[in-house]
Amino acid sequence: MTRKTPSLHYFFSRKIMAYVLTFYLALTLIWLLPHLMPGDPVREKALKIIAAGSKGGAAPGVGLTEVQVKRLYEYWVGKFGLDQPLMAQYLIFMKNCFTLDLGVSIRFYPSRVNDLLIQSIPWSLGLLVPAIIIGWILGNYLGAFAAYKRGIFDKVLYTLFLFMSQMPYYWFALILVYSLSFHAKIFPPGGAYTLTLTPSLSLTFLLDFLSHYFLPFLSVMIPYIGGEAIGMRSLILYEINSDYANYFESLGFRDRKLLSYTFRNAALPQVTGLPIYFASAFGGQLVTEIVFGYPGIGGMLYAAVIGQDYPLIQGGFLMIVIVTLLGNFLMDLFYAYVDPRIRVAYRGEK
Amino acid sequence: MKGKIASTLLVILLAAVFTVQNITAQELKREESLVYTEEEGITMLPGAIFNPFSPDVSAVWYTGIFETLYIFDNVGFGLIPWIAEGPPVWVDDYTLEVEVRDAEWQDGVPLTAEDVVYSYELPKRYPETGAIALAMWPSLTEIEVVDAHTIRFHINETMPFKVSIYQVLCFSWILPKHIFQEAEETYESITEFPFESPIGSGPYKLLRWESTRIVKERWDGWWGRKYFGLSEPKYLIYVPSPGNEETNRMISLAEVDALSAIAPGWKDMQKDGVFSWFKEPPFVSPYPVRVNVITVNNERFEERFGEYAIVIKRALGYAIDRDVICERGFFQLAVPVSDPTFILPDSPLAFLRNEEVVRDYTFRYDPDAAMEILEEAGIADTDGDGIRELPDGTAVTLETIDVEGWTDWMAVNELFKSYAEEIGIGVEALHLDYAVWESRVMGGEYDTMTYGLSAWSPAGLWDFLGIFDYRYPVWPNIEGTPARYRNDELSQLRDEIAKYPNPFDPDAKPVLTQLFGEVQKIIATDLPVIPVGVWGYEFGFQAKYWSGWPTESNPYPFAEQGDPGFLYVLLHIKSTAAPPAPPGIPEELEETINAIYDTVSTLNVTVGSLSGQVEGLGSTVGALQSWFAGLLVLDLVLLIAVIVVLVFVRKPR
Repeated sequence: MTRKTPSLHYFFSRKIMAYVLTFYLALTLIWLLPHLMPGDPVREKALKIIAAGSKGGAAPGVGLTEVQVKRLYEYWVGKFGLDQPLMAQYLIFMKNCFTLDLGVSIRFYPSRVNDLLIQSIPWSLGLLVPAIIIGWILGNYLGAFAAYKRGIFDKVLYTLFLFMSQMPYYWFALILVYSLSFHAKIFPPGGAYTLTLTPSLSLTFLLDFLSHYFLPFLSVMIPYIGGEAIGMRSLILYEINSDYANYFESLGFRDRKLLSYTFRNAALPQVTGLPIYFASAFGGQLVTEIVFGYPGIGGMLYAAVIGQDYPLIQGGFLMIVIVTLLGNFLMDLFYAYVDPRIRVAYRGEK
Repeated sequence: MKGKIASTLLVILLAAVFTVQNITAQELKREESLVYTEEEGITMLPGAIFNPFSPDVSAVWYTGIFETLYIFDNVGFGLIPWIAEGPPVWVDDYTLEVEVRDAEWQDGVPLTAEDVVYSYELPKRYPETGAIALAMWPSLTEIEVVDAHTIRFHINETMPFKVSIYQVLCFSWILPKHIFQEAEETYESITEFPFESPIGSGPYKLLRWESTRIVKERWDGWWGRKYFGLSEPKYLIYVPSPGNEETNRMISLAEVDALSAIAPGWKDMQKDGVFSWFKEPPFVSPYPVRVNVITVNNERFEERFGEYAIVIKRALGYAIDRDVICERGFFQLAVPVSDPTFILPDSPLAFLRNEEVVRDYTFRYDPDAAMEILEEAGIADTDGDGIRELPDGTAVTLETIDVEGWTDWMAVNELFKSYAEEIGIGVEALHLDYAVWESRVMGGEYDTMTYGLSAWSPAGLWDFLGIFDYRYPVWPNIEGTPARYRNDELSQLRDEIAKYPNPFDPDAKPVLTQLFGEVQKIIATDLPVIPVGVWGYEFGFQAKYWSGWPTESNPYPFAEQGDPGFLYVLLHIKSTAAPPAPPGIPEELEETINAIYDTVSTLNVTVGSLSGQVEGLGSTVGALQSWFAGLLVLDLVLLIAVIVVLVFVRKPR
């Protein structure tokens, strides 16, 4: 026992070091990339202020002299700290990241980035988490089932999975809207709830909310099912031909039992993919949100990128990085728990 | 046993919360609600912020809450008194007097001349607001509060730009001094003040803010009731929209009743009850709200083509077919304008057209004439590559730029390219990312570009001439204008024009006609921009729930939802729902019904107070929750993942 503990400790400290380094590099990139975009966010803001309405609108903000415009511009540059040397901006950003105070948004001034994120995250998670969990379960089951049944069944399902995983999800979202809401009129085509309803714990609202929820949910879940099922199918095919499976088979185990053993062994790599997929889906929510007019982080990040809102872009990506790293780390821990082989390896046992 | 009691209690509590909430759950009647949207590129609102001086607050968020002194009458080109009583009066050449009506703020405080002057002076202390009142101050010495109902503008005699004052009268919101003064003490800059629970003077009060909509409820105690009556919509609901497709979908399905941008495919939507001013092209209003031009980068033209610059510009003027551009480039939403007065012959301002300029400088689509002009100047294709050269051998090629995704401008630029190539001028049409486009405009790295300028407001004509006046920055420049044109004579004429706020004033009419005549002559000879078309208000209505919208057959001053003038539109629209049939209840029953109604009302009050308490609890929990929500949910995800795997991987044998 005394020999084992330091080894486990050593293993985790090394892991944590790697995570810290990755996190630091990610932070630097998060800071750097928005600054490499062409254009100047504050100039954008100044223009929006002075020209409210010169394209289409009717309330012109014209007639400001060059001196007035310059003063206005300088005020906002100073306000967002963009007049400081880049190095200083970088250090301030790092400090902000560690104090978890991401500052004030440029595009949505004077809202704080933290508030904007907290406000939009629940919507995105509410859509993503159930979709991914149910998609994971269904996908893996269907994949295992296809691999196990083989024959024509497998061939049909496999083609279907391939199609599901490879179809562009925005296209699929549009198809859903077109068929189920425009034509069949079963589901509302967009929004999070009926505009004349006030959110409450009532049954009316709940049903209304769910009917708005269903299509975006499907559009996230179905493509995910395809991907998971393909992975699971190949893994099961591999496991089914392994020695232990052959041995069990020859011992006369029932098929169901055999499948449940192989499933457990095959599930491990599928679990690994979860946090990574989650993080990418998190950022990729945008299209779903635009197609369905559904609130969430995607639309917020999109507006941030268009408006070159450095603090908000950074905040959004910081969150994605944290989710990914934390997810991976927890998976590392979880592995040790779930797979005796890895646990043994962690402890340095032979 | 204990567990049982606890769980029973929990169930009862939950049921109670559920029922109370159920009773108080408010469903707004669709037929009483006017739902509107504006394409802002967002699916959720950033926060409950209603301060008009905060730069990222969209005016559509507080529609109905704040008001202005006047509303711009864009049909008759005049001022409609709103908070002001009667038209502005010129006491002498340099003193303008405005009377304020008996108005009141939504919190019961009277609205006086003090509030008006405060609202106009505030931006002076905070130039970062960029508020339009700032543009007026160079033309003023002071604004004087004569009494609670009278204010006087004292004009700066050295720079009497009266148009900008009229602009402010129509578009600068009047805000409550008693609230903003406090905010000034709290915040470093007034732009930081969110004004979460806005108090305005308008006929609608904020009812609810949610991240996906803003609900305002009619204030039946509105001060303006005795002057204007009340508008019919009981609720105003604003919803954000991520894009044009989404707004089109919403209005087709009558999810929204009004929007302020219209897109291609407009005509097809008429069968869904969606319409605008006209039923046929150009659909949008007939007033020249925006003048569309091909702007020439005059500095670069001079530099590259020298004395031949004007020849090339004139040739381009003849080379383009404006009918086709308006139809295919501007999707039938614009009307061609082919002379450098930029004023249509049927416009109320047609008297400002310089007939001489119209006669001599009107462009028609005539590529042969264009080529003749070039030939005469000696600009010919000498090397046989299809592109003409100046006599010194410089090839006449142009770079024309627009923004990727702005489909109308892109289409116009492509058409421009093909027309120019027809007469032997090489054109490269570049569709750029907005940021790149903007930096190229700022840096002057283009030869021509599509451009639009607003021209229909109290200061509209002066405003439009801004593109020729290098002293005032015009979007997207923060120095100079996209035309990069300097002409001191024109700038001085523009200053003169700024002194006449009312073009229909009999004294001003001849002077303005003469001034505009001179300006138009300069524009015609120098041709800093090439006229293309004019565009009216973009304003779409849905007729399912509300009628009486401003149209060709029912014309009245109209405005977009974020404009002060939208209040005027609200007064004119009528519900399409049939009035409720008379109940016809027998008298003896009525008493019983009344008694039941009273009991229910009392019950309702009790439940209401209960629910208030529950809500109080809820908000405390909510505040706590919002802090932890982010992390908590993240953890939850992983936890659930863990559980799922556990279930499948470690099934008990």
